[in-house]
Amino acid sequence: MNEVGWWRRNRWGLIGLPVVLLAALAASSYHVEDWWWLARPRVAVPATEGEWVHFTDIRYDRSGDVPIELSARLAGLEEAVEPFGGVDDELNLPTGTKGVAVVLEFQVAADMPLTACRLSVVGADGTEYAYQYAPPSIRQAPSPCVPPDRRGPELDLFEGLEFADGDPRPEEWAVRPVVVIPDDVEIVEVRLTWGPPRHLVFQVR
Amino acid sequence: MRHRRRAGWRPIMGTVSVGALLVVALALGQAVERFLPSRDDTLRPFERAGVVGEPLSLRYGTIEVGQPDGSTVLHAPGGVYSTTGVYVVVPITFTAKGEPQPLAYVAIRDAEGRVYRAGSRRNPWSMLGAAQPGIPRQAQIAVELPVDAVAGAQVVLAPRPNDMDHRRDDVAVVDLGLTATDAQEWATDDDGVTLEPAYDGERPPS
Repeated sequence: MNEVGWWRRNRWGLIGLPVVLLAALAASSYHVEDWWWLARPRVAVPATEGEWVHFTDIRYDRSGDVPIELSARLAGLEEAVEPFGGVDDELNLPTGTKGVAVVLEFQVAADMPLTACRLSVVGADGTEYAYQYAPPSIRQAPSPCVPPDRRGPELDLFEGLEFADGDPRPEEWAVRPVVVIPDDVEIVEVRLTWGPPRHLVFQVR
Repeated sequence: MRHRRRAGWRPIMGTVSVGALLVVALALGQAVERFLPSRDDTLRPFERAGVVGEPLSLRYGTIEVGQPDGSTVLHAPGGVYSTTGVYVVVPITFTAKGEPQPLAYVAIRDAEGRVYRAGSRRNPWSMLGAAQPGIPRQAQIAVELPVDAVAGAQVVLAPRPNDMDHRRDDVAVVDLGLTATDAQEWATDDDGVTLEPAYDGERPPS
């Protein structure tokens, strides 16, 4: 009688084993997208200060997918002389801090909802400082990326919540939102996102 | 004859062996599980102990708790509140690290383990949002306590508002150094303590 070896007897099980293992891993990884991939910005669209960059993304509201398409440019960083949006008249920053005005320019269709953006700057040591509109030391417009008096459309997130029609937003504009940072920080990057995972990363010259 | 008897026994012995191995494996598994830490244990937060006046370093920043004060009357931005217990007001300095961080969970835990949460109208607490890294955020909390909860009380601080989300993260626990004498003194004080609004920057010298 021919003896059949262990490997030959179990060949189909061995072939199926890696497939089954992958399937088990995939089945138990249903939280990875929501709890890790989408938790933070992970897909960077790079750009350099002074250069225009084209950016696309897809947001989501009650009407379904909402595509976003725009061109943006980091025109530069300046010493801030006033808060952004005219909520406060002047800057009164605590000792040991400074206000940096991040000058951004946009070219976007007027019907694109862009108010829900997050702006931050990154220091040389990797520390991230976010634009804040109502901390104790400064009061500014809530959105750092649209003109404060002509914000344009909003995402339809809540049933029954409607926004008054204001003046239409222009198709080209510049903003100067102020980020408050410690005195000794040197900014090397500016980040702008409308929600993870995609985000714009401007390298500061 | 003997050969046929041995052949009949073999499959039965095989089945019994497999069954016995199964029982041994289950018993072994149960014994191992008894010695492993429970699920609650593995999910518990990392409590970092501190004392008043000393900076406490955590994953998300540094916390320094100042000297508490107390009275039966609290003057807060939302109004004036009085209590038959004691209002304990605690100054806190929080300097975030790495990225803007909030301190959204603040509570006082007494010596018996009872927890009194701050963040309501009668127990005001507000940091006015996340603190920017490297810029100290000064804030005060006010918590209404029974008089017998003051001695031995600790203040507990964490970034997330839901204490279920403190799993496996740093939680600051600072002993306020309060005694029964403090409790009695504050329980008879009706001059009141004032809750200051939050601000950024270094605390001015007292």
